[in-house]
Amino acid sequence: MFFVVFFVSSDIHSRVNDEAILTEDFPIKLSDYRFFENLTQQQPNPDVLPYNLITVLFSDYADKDRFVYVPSAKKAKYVKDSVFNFPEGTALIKTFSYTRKTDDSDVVKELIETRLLLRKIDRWETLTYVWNEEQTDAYLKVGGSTVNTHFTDSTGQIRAVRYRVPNKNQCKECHASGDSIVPIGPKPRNLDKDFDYPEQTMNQLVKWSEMNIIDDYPQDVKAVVDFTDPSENIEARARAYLAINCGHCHSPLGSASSTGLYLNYGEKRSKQLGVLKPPVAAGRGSGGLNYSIVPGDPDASILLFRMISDDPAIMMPESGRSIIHQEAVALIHDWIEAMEGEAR
Amino acid sequence: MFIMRLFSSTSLILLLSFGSLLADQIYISPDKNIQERFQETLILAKPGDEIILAAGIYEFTDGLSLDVDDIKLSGAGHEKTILSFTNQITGAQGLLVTSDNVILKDFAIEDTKGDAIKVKGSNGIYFINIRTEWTGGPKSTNGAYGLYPVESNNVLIDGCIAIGASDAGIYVGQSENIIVRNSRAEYNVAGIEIENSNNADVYNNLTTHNTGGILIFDLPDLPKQGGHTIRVFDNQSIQNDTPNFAPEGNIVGEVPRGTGIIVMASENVEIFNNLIGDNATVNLAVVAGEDSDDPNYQKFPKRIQIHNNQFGPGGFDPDERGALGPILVEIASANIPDIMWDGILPFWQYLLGQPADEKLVIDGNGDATFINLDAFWYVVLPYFHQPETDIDVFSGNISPLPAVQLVFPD
Repeated sequence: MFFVVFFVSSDIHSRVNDEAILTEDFPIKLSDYRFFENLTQQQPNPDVLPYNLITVLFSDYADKDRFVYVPSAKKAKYVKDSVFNFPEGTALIKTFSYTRKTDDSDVVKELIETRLLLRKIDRWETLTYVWNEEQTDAYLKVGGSTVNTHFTDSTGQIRAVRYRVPNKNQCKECHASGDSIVPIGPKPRNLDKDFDYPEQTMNQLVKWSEMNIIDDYPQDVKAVVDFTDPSENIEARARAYLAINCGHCHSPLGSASSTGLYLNYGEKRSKQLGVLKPPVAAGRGSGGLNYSIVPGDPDASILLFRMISDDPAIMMPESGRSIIHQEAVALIHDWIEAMEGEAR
Repeated sequence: MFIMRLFSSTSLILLLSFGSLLADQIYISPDKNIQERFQETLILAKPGDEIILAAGIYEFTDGLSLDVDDIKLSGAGHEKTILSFTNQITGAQGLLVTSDNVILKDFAIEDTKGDAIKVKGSNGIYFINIRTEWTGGPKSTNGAYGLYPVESNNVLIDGCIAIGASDAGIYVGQSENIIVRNSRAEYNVAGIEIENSNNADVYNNLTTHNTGGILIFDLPDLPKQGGHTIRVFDNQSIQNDTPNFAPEGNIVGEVPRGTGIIVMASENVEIFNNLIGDNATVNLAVVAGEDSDDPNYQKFPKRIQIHNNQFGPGGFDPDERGALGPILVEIASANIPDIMWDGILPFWQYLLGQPADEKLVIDGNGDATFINLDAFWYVVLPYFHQPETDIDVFSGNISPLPAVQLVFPD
């Protein structure tokens, strides 16, 4: 009897709080959802699965830990060229953090915010939770916030960052598709890679299928390339980077629809992709240049000009970046330089 | 039965009053932590709420946004409630509105890094007595647009002031059903610009000290094209004398200093009862758009009617900037007539003539002077080129365009 009670209570305790995901109110603490066994260590519940993407959105060099939760007995459905169609009660969880090396070479990880995409009955809801200084819990922030901190970059340098936690409307700016909100990352083509699970390393789609997170999916998913992989074709790397970093707004249904510049994955028309396309309402964003992309001439291309700026009237993306993404700048520079066509 | 009916009507009244009780008036004043507090208010507001900004200077470091329908955001007057972005660090604009039926009233937005107020994809947006200004005067480092509704329907801009934009002070793009009235635009590159939009009334405005006063443009390569049915009347576009300070690469960078009104590539435009004068390059110009490989682009202006306008001095000191300036100067030297048409037509129309119902009509403009640059023949056969200056050739019957009716639910 004792064991049964113990079992039941511990089971309830470790279960994700489905009600918190579905409620029309906004839970005020991240711990309210019970996604994690150990919140501070970001140790997920058994029902909550960590995942990774092949090519990721740049967010001022912040590290990201991603998790997916789909209620038991429900499955996400495959949709061609799109994110999975997740069932109600789904949560997509992403924690942003910075690491820095201390003087005695310890590595300290600072959790900044945890963003949630919650699948309600009729829509996706975006919420973000900002971590307290003690790193014991994170608290709802709808109006956005500024976190001034620093991190150790890949060369070992300490760098300062004015990290912006997005407000609820900014979540929508990127996640909007027409009038609705949609997830961006978990598309089959961007998930089709191995992940080091505690038990074993295996392909994420296979694992998701095994765990009944997703329904059947075609076996010929064409994975996007990792934009950092120098062995891949530069065109494919550049398009993969632009699709995930720009294409959610720069698409016919996105926030930047009015510009006519479309960088989403499926776009094939060269003018819409920026080749010899004049700016529309760029203001200073044009930088005195005449076209988004001038084949063979990266320095004459507005696309690159806006990536190497940190002036809010010029820089792209408009939000979520305050630092220049050097690796991407190098990639886009080389991609435009290698493009064939008459430079004007 | 009677009691039942009484009961049901009472409950209806109760319900209605409860409904109005649900709509709040939310008061905001410029206290500390205004950035997060105000943004949070804009997010948590419910449809029907009125957010009231007390007089004062509000300092913001990051852009603001509103995405809730049926909101009124009002201040204590555009000289009293000032949202200042002098210290802005992030955000491509000061305020972004993406929801429907929004009233912005009686406040100012100053010194944003990018655009002042951008409204995207809204059905029902009122700007009333709003001022957008870059306070350091015209500079190429100013933001591009002051009041900037795009991809929107049912747009009203009334009693507004736009100063110092490095592109257009009042810019309505890719929109429908538009009224811009009783407003003043000065020291912008373009005062008022209606671009790739249809059904617009622009009236009773003052555009002065801009590079160009009023621009009715249609451009290629945009999702919405074929701007048409635009009335420009009872405006004063005078002394637009600020040298062009647009960052290069933008279409308005082509506008010569001292332009009153330009119509480019649009269709069905009626320009009447305006006072246009003291514009040193040209008072009123009708021109074709630039060549484009966009198959959907219609670059020739059609059905442009210009009547009963009053012209002051113009064309006395033309600016040679852009594509237009040098040609104007070369053909008409230093005395450019009030109304200028570049005369560019689809090639077949040089041979067979322009369809009668597409022709430019110019009538009843007092003693206004005119020139048809006939730019095509100027380029092809310069030696035989003889620009038309007889304005009476273009006189004809005016077919008035309908007034714009804004449609706002409730």
